[in-house]
Amino acid sequence: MGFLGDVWNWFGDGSHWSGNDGVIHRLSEHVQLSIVSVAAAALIALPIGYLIGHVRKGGVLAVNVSNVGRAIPSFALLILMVQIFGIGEPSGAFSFVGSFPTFIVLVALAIPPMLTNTYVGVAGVDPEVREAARGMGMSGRQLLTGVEAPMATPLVMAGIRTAAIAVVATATLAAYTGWGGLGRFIIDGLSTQDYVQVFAGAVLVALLAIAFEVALSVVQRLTVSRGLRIGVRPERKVEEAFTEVSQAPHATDFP
Amino acid sequence: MIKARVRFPGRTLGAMLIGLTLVVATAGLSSASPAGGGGSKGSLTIGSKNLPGAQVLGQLYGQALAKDGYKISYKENLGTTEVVFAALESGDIDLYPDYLNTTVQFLGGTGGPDVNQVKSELDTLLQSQGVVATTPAPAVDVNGFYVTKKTAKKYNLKNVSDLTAQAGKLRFGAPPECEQRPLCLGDTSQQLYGLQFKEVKKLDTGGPVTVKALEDGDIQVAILFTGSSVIPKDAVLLKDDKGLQGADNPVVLVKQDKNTPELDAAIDKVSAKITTKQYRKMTLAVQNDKEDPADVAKAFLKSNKVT
Repeated sequence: MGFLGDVWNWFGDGSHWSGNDGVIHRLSEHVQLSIVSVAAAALIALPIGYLIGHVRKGGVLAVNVSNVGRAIPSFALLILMVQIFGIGEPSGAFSFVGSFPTFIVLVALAIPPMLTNTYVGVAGVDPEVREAARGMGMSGRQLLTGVEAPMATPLVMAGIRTAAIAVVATATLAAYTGWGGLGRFIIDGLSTQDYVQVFAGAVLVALLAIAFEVALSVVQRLTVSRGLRIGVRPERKVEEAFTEVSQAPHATDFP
Repeated sequence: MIKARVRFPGRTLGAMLIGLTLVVATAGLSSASPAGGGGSKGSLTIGSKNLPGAQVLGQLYGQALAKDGYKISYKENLGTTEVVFAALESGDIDLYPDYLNTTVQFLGGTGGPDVNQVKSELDTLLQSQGVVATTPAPAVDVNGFYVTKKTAKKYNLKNVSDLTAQAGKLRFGAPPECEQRPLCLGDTSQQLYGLQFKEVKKLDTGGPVTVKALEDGDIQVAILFTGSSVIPKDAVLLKDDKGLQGADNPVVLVKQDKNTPELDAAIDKVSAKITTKQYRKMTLAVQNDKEDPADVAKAFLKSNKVT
């Protein structure tokens, strides 16, 4: 059966699914750490992104500062965080964070795509649309929440999806600090030359990343205004409407 | 016309690169001995394994012997015991430093925790190989069970066997493969000490994560390597009183036809100075601080007044 057959059999072995070291438990840890990290990063990145996009000031600075998070290799940052915070596994109210040093690394990784996309999405709203909204007497807040934010949503969601995929893949690092997650299969497998387990772990991470992508695209479909959806070309609708109007019998068109 | 001009510098650059590669390659293959005794006692080729500690050892013996009047050339970083021992047998190198227990097990022996016993086993195994082993150095680089001074005091720990009764209250941090390794928490270890810790944290391989976790008290017992991990100031090594770890002391293997009592004495003089602490210091300088093994060895020989 070869290597892939061994991997298949690995998944078929019930003992690999249950218990503390089992797929179910490791998967839930991985999902927990990923969601918590993306959510925390969104709480930081989105408000800043909306704000600087709305005022159109400080965007270059904020985007570049946040991009530092992308430039530092996650693994190096993790080692640094372990030196500062220890292997930190908060107990009590903050236990949902899981592995604190990994959480920091993942938040730093997730902020840049969300911040950049939100800023670009809001700042890129057509000036004519904005002027029209102002002309209708909208306040700054109304403009942001009623016009700019909805129009930026497709880009904001794309940023969240990019961040989530990166976070799911990188959360494997948590295993290096002694915590769980799907990285356990990869790191433990590597240290015992059990490459079947390594590959099985990698497959699980990839599948989870795809699951996140699918789930978030459903969220995107639900949150993006119908008129802004990709695939529905507004110009075409206008054209159709125009054609319909021009072909309709005109009130003054008496022979 | 323009095309030719554009391509010309590329060719020159290519030629220069090839030339440079050749120069570097030749330089890397065999580096001549540093100025020393001038080779009045004959010439020796020294090999070394591909480990930071082993490379320092190669330089240590090489430089000491050069000062002693031998003409030394090096073939460094050759590979694992399999590779370097074969080079010694075939006469490509005349001597190289290996580790006692590792060599015995490589030659099909059993090894063990007692230096003298393992050394005599090695001597027996080497008889048919045309190779002799010198007196082992005192240093060992093995799995060490470390606790902080505070933990040692609190639970009255001196030996690893003292851990057996207390393990249920303690968190243990080790490399991820520890529970599968006989000399860590695997079968041999369980037969000797039967350590059942409250929790086993899978951390890094004797690296910064394990050290930090021990210092912070996230774990109370850590596996660090006696000869190649950064050992925190506050840490105590528990004595391996039941002899779990092998006697993996550095030992120089010499081709029999090159061996003389004089050479033996010169090597022993260096070996005697290599304690675990000194060995660790030198290994870390190469492994973590990326220093040149030759410089590290030179500084050691100078400060220990070997040369």
